[in-house]
Amino acid sequence: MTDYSLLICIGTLFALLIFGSPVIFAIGAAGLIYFVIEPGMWPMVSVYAHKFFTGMDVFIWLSIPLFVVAGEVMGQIGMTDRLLKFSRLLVGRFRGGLAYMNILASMLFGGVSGSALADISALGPVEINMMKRDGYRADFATALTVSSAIQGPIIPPSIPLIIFASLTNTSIGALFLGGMLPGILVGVGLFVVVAVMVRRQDFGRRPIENLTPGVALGIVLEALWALVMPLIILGGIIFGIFTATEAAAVAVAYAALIGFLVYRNLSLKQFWQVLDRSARTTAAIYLIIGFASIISWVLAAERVPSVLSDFVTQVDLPVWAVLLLLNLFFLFNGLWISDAVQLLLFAPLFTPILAELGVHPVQFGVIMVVNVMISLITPPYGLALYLGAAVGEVSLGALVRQSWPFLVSSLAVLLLVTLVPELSLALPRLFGFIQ
Amino acid sequence: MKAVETVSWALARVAGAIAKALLLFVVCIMFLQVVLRFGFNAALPWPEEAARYGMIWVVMLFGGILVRDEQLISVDFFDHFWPRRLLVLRNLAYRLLLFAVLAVLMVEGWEQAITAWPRTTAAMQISWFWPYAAVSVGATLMLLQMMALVVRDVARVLADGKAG
Repeated sequence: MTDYSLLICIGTLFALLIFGSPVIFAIGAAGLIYFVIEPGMWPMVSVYAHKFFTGMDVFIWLSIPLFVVAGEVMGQIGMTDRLLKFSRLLVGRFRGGLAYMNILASMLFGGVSGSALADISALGPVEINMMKRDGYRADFATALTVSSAIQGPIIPPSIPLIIFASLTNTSIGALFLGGMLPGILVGVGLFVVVAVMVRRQDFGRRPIENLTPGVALGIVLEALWALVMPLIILGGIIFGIFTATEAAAVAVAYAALIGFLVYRNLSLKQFWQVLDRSARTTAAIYLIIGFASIISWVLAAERVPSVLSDFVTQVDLPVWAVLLLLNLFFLFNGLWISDAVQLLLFAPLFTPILAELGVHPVQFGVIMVVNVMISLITPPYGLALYLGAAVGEVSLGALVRQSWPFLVSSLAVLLLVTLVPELSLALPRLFGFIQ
Repeated sequence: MKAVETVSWALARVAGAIAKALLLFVVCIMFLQVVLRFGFNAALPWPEEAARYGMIWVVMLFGGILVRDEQLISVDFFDHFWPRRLLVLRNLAYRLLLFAVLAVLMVEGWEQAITAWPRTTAAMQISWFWPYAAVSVGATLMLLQMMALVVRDVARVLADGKAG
């Protein structure tokens, strides 16, 4: 091992990121540099292509495209509009009703889709336009949309939790259950922020017009098709009926059947377009997985896990302090690198070390996922911010300024999840996944 | 320039159509497997393997499309600090490094596929060449699409120079 090769790898990664290189290629180049500069490694460069392939060749990854397709179909057939209406039925009558609706709809959509970006592109345009028409500032409406979207991947089904489960051999059912309360807490935190803002600003009440019991029942029944989906997915996994991948396949079939047979608003042409969008999203995630697998191999070859483990043992800090420091580390990384990359590189590295310190992998998984979801709304590399700015047609600067109260509330939830293990362990324990 | 655009478009069109059909196949066989397992207690041995390799092909075929449509996420926060002309040179510089990444994947991926030709996969009993070849084919497509982007950028700079 040479001391400098790993440093040069990391330097290459950051230099390329700052130079505007696509993130996946920056990771790929950092991995390749290692083979070039580390003495004796170039003859082994075939490992580069091999690790890239084997990194992607994992059965559980198949649930990612399937959940993406299911979420896309749900958006395509107007399930999002129905969830919005249902949310407005529940919270529209309060002052700031549309802001609450925005948060609640994301919470419910989180039970259908595993991706924050899908939430912003599916729900965002409708929510932002509704709020703008109602007199909300565009940058505020967009900031709320973007911030509430991060609940989605914490509430199951969740692509980041699937990635964590697969890399650390942790039960997906336990992680899905573990993410439930923290995901809802993120939403509750946003509710509180809006409630405080309502006192100072002139947000209106927006109940559904001409509401009769019949209309209300119609709205509930229409939304029921979407509300049942998380029960099928979670119920299937929790009670051992499906694996996560099978649950995802069932979710696709369920969403497609609703589109073709119940709502009758999904054509074959639209389904083809859904496949196109889903393939793009999935390809980006899989390519990151492939290239990050090479880096993981490099880290293992450089014995980074054992060096880190020794370091954590030697510093002899209390567990909560280690977790807080790790949170700061992930938040700093999140300024630059994406959620999936952090999970792929650091989940296998830190989970065993923390397990030795007594931190349950389910709790650590939930902490990590909440943390990397927050990185979606921190500049300069906040994917949700970029997408939100495009969807809401607002400047990135204005969006960041409006986002900070929501960011603070999400950070408070992260702190809670870090310091109170039961928030992520109570439900898995209740269902017998952990002791 | 027009010829480059046409080739790039055609490659993306063909790769996209094959990949979408494959994704549909993956979705269908995974659901079929669930139905067979629960409905008839008779899961097939091959769908899981077929879905895994099929998905890798989907990803590698779409990689070129993501490059072409510049949909691979990058940190462009600092871009406005760079003068436009220097930005093109900067992009050219990092793309040269990315060519190297893709070239290694293309060559080593092919080597891997050829070496694995005599071995067969566990469930489908097809040559390992077919799953492994996805890496090389995908890297080639991404490389070609990135070359098309470089040609486009250089043509723009030259056009700007003439106009200026």
